[in-house]
Amino acid sequence: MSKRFSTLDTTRLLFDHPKILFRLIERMDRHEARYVRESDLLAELMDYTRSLSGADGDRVRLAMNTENLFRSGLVIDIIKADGERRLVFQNALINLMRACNASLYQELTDARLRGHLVTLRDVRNRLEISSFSESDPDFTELRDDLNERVSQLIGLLRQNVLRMQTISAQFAELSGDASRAPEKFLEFRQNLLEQIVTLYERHIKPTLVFLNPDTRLPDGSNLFETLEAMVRLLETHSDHGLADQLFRSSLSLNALYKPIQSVAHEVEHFLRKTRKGMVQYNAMEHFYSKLRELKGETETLSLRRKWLEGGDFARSTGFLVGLRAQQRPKHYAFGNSSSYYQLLFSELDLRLADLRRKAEVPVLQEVAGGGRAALVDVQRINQLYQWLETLKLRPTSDLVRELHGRLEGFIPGYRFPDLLAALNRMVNTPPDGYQVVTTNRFRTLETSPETEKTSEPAAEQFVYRKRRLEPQVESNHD
Amino acid sequence: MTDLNSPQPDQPTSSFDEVLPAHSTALYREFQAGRVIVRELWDSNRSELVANPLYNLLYNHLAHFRTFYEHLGCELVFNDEGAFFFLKESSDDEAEEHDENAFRVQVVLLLIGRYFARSGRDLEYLGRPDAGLGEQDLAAMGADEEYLEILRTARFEKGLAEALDYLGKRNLMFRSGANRYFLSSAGMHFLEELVREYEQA
Repeated sequence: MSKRFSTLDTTRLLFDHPKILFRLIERMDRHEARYVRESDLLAELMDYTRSLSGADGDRVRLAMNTENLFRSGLVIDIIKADGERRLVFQNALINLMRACNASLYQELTDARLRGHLVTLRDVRNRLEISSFSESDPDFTELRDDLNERVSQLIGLLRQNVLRMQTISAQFAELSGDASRAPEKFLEFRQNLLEQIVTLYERHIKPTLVFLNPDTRLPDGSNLFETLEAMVRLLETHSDHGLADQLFRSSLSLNALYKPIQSVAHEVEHFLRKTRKGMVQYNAMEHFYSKLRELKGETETLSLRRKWLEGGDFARSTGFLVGLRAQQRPKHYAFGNSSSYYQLLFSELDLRLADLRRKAEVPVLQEVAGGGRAALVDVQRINQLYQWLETLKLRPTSDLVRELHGRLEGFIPGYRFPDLLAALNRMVNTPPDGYQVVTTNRFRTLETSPETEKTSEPAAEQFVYRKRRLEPQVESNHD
Repeated sequence: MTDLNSPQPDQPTSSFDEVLPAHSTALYREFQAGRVIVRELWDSNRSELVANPLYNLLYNHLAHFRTFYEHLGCELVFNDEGAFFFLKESSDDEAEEHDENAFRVQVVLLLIGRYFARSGRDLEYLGRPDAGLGEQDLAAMGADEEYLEILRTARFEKGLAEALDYLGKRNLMFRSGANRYFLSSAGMHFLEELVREYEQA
């Protein structure tokens, strides 16, 4: 173990294999200590280098050797206490490591923030009595100190904002765990809420208060007031460079307020989700996954499994089992009243009469079609009129529908415009002994599927005013 | 014949005397149409929930209707918590079809419940006329491929609109406005029951 690495090479190796230090820092934070136990370091090292090949492993082991770390100045102190050796790493190295891994950020606590504020106030107080002379080492030191403090503060806050912004992803992950393992829900919820409450109460809220320019503090000026006071002081002493720099810093600090605020909203929203909400969420997911399974079964190769087979599912919940089916609309209403039979027979009579005249049925088909001549149109209508002349009708409450029923499927080539023509004629010259009463009620007719298939490309609709065919009042005709 | 028709003074009054035939008929029609009788119905003209007289009728003459429907080969089921009645057909024949309607109702309700819970809201709001499902919710649900797929395999070929209509026709859901829906007490009961079952499991 006589071989040594230079500081640069050691650092390079540390960053090539950052996991070791990541874990050590995690442990440090967990124990809230400022040192790493040598035994921990060795244990991590052994654990980590096991997966490395010979030369690499040796190199890492050499670099992470306590002696080497101390010589290269990365470990600044070795404390012997309680029978163990504790290594204190160079702060800059630890901070750099933290910057490489978002989860290693130390959350800003109220106390920490206050510490920063107090130092800043202190700097301001010293600035007030300062000479503002470049030749005065007191002033130049103070200026450097100020710069360092402010940039430290900005860096710290920015890291934390980044960290906080990943919080929603964390929530999703955590609640995902809970929904996957519902049996651990209670324990999980306890942990989660504790974590979140701590985060919110101890870190997010203080940061928000700290960064809010309107905050009033009982013990003195807030962050922005302090910074502003310093900017004014520097300006009055014509140190514009530094004044501008400080002003820009205060702007960036101010800009950090918004993202933290949005995180705060998110957390608040999450906390408001009660236990009830989470149980509901998980319950829904639980049963939905069952439904998904059923759906998966329909996606097998079997062509016959087209529908969900939910019998077992339905019975397991028991809700509304045995509920009646909704009645399908009836096509034919059967009755046994005398009026029903009368109507039936009269309709049959009429249809029979139509059939008897089958030979006379006008064939409109031949003249149907796109760009017809006007002459053809006239022919067509005339043919239809002749048919209508002899058509027997009975009193009806909906003449249009009745006509449509009598013409559709009976006269080849029948279309809605023909109905319009037929209707026109009926209204102007009603059949003997009848009158047509036009009502203000609207009805819609649609082409039936058969005609749709054969002759019409798309379903057509015919909106009409309902017309009644009634026996004339004066006549005794039934 | 005369004995049967003429009222006997000492004969105990039949429970049929206490219910108007017209009311009973109206009730029967509702059940025939596969509806659930809920305590409160949505009055879209007044925009408020109003008491359902048929529910009260059933409630006040529970024993009568129980026997009555028993004689017709059905079971009148009363759910106290969900405040609804429904008519259970005998399950002897066609067991498959027997569960079909219940299942389809359950599928739609579950999809709605799952969607709602995922959106981070308390399910309770689904049953409130001033909350419920809004236009955006319908759009979001209608755009979810998986939901549509499930609806399709549950024989709702026309998708969400048909499914909502299916619930609406059964008094499990009410339409409180253009593209706004909320669940009736019966519809809510199913989701609450699922949550309870999950908690106890």
